[in-house]
Order: sequence, then structure tokens, then C-alpha cells
Amino acid sequence: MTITESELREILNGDGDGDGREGHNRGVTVADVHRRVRAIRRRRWTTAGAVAAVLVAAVALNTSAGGVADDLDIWTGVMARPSPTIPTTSRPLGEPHPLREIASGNYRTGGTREELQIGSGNNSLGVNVYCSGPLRRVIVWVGDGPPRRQLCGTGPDGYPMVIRETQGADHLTGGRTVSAAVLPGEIDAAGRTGGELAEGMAGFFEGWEERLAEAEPFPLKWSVVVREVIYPVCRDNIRQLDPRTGEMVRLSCGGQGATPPGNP
Amino acid sequence: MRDRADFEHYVEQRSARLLRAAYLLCRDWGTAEDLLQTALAKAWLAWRRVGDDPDPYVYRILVNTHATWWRRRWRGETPSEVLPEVPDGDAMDALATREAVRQALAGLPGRQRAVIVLRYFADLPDQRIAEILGCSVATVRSQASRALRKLRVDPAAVAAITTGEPR
Repeated sequence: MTITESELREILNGDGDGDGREGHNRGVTVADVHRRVRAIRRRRWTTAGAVAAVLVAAVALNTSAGGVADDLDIWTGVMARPSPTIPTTSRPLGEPHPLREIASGNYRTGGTREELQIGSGNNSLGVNVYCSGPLRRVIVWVGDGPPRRQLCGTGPDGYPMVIRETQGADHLTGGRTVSAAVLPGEIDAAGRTGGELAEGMAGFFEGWEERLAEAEPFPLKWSVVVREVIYPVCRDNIRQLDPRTGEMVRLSCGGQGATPPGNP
Repeated sequence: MRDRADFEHYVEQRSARLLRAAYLLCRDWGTAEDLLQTALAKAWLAWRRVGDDPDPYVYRILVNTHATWWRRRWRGETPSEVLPEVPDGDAMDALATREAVRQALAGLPGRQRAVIVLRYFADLPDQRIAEILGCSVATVRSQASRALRKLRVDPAAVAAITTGEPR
């Protein structure tokens, strides 16, 4: 017994109706999809990190071994080669590691400078600023350090941009305070990439001091979280890949021993 | 310019239909939801590059992701407490025919099943199906023709496909 093409269409369109599964007519939710997006991004970053680690290991091995003979010519293998000159750096590379949370503040108005007094301590500080709604300009001061200009709010990809600032302990001698202010006005992130936003930073913050001084408080939910952070430990003659240049560098601590900069 | 609101609207409008297509490809609702979420997530990551009609792009991701999963996952027998009934000639009514078609569809090779789903469920023209599957129109038609024979579709329709006549 045969069927027609239109019967096949009917079967395909009605297929699964009687299998007892509830709710499949609704499809999937946007929230489910965005959860999956985050999982994919996490996996991609992990993969990229693993590849980078393998590359670092490969480069380090190759460098420490002085290179491998290119062919089977034994004379090439036994001839001495000059050691490659590796640039040195006195600061260990890598992101600071967050420790405990020591202060936080939740605010409902923008346009004013909010200050957090941090208790005593010798560690460096890491500051995260979270803003609700569209992208906005934020100024962050950590200790005696210079004002940092950053953006927070919903980024061009629809995900929140969070400000992450760190300040070494050497800038905190004048007082362990953290303050931040959200400037009035929003930034239209539609259609812009992160790189384009970064390029426009100078223009976004032009005359920010006057804008902040003249700003009227406006409703906005935002928050500041301060954590103690510790920088990677400096150890002499350790080789690292500089993430900014992609070049191999050698650590030379200059008598700092195993003390991370900015930490006791 | 496609944006987040545009994507969310697309998901809300089309996900039920796409979920059914995913189910037809993998024959399991749980896997279908998993498959569709992954396909839509991948589509979102490239949403700015998607043209005016996202359907073919999403179908392509669905088919390719399913093919990848199908290759990776073990495809053993599914244990069942109840033996399937074998219909005899007299009892072969319309319902039994449909069930036979469903079983035949489940038994099709992945490529042929994808052609059938895209052609008769998504109603895409052969040219579009060829673009989605990355093959020629002639290949799409030959795959469709073989699949329809297995599905016991009217031989006249199968012949029409083989000669490239419009549907």
C-alpha cells in the first residue's frame, strides 16, 4: 500500500502528537537558548585556554631545549647554538586572584560619587561595578590611584558589561577607599562591537569632570563590590607568554623574591 | 541590523516548528529540545551575519549538529518491554500505514531523512535544501527519490522527483 506526497506531509506535520509528550508545541524558551549560549562560550574559552596552554608548553619546551635539530644531519645536532635572547620582565604576568569580599554598596541613584571605606589590611583591592539598564559611563577611584574611566550596563551583545578594576597595595597607603560615580546619559551600544566602543572611550568621557560636577541625581540601580586580591607570585627565571605581545618573557624579580608586587 | 529583540522574537515565533523538525530528525523529544537549543544558541552567536530569512541558516545548523551528534553517540537498540505488533495484510488500515511510514522514516539514513524533513515538513525548495546540505540539486533529488521509495510513496511522485518536475 502506497501513500501520496500530501499524506506524507500530513504525517510529518502531525507526527508526535500522540506520543504522550506534553508541552513540545511550545518549542524552547529564550532563556534556555541563552543558557546554552553561555555554556558554548564557556566551552570555547576553555578550549582556547587549553590550546594557549599547550602552545605555551610547546614554546617553553622548544626554547628551553634550545630548539630541535631540523634534519637528520648529526653535525647540525652537535654544533653549539647561541641561546635565544628572551626579554625579561620584573612583574609576573597574569590576572590577580580574588580573595574575600570586604565591602559592597547598592545604590539607587546615579550622578553622585559614592564612597566605600575599606577596613585595615595590606592586600591589593579588586573592584567590580555592576549597572542595570543600558550602557553608561562610570568613573572608579581605588585608593590614591588615578580615576579610571569605564563602561557598565548592557553591552552590544546583550550581556552585562561589568567593570573590573584592581589596584596594587602601593597605591593604598593614603587610605583604603573605593569610590565610583555613574555619569548621566546613556551610550547607544547598538551595532557597535566591543572594539569600536573601546576606540570611542576618549570621546565618551570628554569633559566628564564638568558633567559629574553639574549632574543631578537620577534613578539607577547599580552596585559596587570590593574584594581583596592577590597578584601572581614573582619567581626568578620563570618563563611566561606575554598575553599582550604573544612573546615569551623571563621573570627577573630583582630581589623581590617570592613576594607578589603590591602584597606583603 | 539584526539585534537581540529580533532574535528573541524569532525564537518565540519559530521554535515550536523548529522543535518538530528537530524531533523528525532525531525521533526523541528530549534530544530534539537539546538539539534545537544548541542550534539556536549557535545561530545567536552568528546572528549579525544571518540574512533576512534565518530559517535556512537555522535548519543548516540543526542538520549539521544532528549529524555530528549522530556520529558521536552510541546508537544501540532501545530496550522495550512490549514487542512491536506486526500488522498482517488484512489489518493494514490507514493508521497502520502511517505507523509504517513513521518507522520507515526513523530507519532512513540521516541524509535522506534530512532531505525528507526539509522538503516535506519545512517546505523548502530543492535549491535551498542543496545549499543547506552542501550538495547539488541532483543529489537532493536522488536522495529524496530513494527515501520516498522506502517510505512507499506513490511511484508517480517518485518518478516526478527523479525527472525534476516541479512539485
